[in-house]
Amino acid sequence: MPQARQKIAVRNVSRMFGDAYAVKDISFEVMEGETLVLIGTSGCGKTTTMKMINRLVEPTGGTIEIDGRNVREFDVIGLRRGIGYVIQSVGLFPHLTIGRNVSVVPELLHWPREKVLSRVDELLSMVGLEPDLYRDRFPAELSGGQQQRVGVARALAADPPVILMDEPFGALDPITREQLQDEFLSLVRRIGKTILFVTHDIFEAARIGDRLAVMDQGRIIQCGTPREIVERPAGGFVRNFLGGHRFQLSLLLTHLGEVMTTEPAEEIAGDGSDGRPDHLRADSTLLDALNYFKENGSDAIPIRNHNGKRIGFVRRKAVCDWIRPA
Amino acid sequence: MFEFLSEYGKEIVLLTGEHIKLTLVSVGAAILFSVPGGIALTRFGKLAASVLGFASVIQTVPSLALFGLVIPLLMAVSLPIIGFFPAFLALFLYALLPILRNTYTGIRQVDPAIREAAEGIGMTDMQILRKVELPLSLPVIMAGIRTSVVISVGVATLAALIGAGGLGELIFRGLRTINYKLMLAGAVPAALLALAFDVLLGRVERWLTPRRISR
Repeated sequence: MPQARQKIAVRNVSRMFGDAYAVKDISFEVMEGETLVLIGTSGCGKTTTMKMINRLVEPTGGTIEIDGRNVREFDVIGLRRGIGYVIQSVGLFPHLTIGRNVSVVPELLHWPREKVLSRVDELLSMVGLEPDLYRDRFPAELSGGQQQRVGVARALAADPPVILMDEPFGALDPITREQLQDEFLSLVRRIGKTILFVTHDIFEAARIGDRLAVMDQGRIIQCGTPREIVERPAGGFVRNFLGGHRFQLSLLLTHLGEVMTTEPAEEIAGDGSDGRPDHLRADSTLLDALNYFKENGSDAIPIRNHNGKRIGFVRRKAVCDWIRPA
Repeated sequence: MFEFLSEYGKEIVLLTGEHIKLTLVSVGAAILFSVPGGIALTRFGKLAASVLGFASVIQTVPSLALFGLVIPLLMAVSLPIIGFFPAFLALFLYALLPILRNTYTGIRQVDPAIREAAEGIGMTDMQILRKVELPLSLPVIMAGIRTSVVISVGVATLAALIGAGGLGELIFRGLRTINYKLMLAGAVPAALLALAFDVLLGRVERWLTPRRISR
């Protein structure tokens, strides 16, 4: 079985400012192709940790390796050009067009002109901005959500294997934020990058993270899949951090494939005949199912695959059974 | 009026030329010194306050008094104390502060997020300066240059006192002989010159500030 490679390895890393520890002796790995989310409240050290990967901040202790090589061995400029960087305030260059903003790193790397031009168009399409419409406009003409799409395109431009994202959707309204999270998820599935993502929003983390590292006061309290964190929080801090959201989170993290049955159903109403399309699939969440049941009187929901073929159904009773304490 | 102009017209044009030359050479030198100086101050923050403070002190010395300070200084080091050089030196000192200060604050006021993004994606310090900070602070630097030019046109009228020529010649000669026509012959072109530079450089400044940067 092929071993997933450790792309980023953080070993016993600390960072002090004066006498205080911003980050204290933390260790974690990000496997190749994985999205690891650093999550915690303000001041827990998550952003500082992320900045030590591309050496915007240098650790005062410990080592960080990428592909097994200590990041200190790399020329710092070359290192940063090989890592995508997206920040909350976006930081687009206002005096450059969108196209020139996206092409910054390829140009720094002296890519041939035609390659740069086609790459810019490719990326703008990838982030949902029609190249002919947006290439020659300026950042000030774009909305916050559009600007951040450009920010992501800029980070991806030179096709770096690793991307660092610091609360990239934090400055956006909730609707745009959710939309960008969805697009981000499908983008990541397509391009397979290794991503270190920082956020304070547990729902965002649960949606987009393959694994989460919960931080507090410079330390990692728990590291695991979103499911593990939510269902088996390690101690008081994590439990408090999840707060009243634990239940909703576990609804979001449980997929219908787990409570679905494939026995023939006696009768299923709402088979699309009431005009509303059935969007529920095996990877839809229990929350989607609950929404459906609330609006619909039926006792079961059909589950379809991506071709629209019905592959099973979910009984209302199965959902209620799930809710009962184990 | 026409007699006056036919008698003095040539001299007015000549002196205006001297005046412009004195102004532009002095401000040109000040730009060469202050723009790199201002950039350096942004990189070595601790010096900034004291250097800007020192330049401010020079600025507060009244222009005539500055001439009075510069000349003994030049005497002490055996450099020319009349003519073009001392006038140039005084004007140069006077033109420093607006350009130095505007270069410094222009670069400093670039949004830190933009600088962070530039650094994070792998630009060297020189690349950040050339591709991001300077283009964005150009309008502010230009405003400083404009201020310096307008001030210099005014201070250059004093140059006549130390034999450096310029429109001040006519003003002082007019004052000595109580000849108001001479006074105006010097003062009006000087005022128009200041105005013309102000308008011209104002246009350049606006041209350097495209709508798109308005945030």
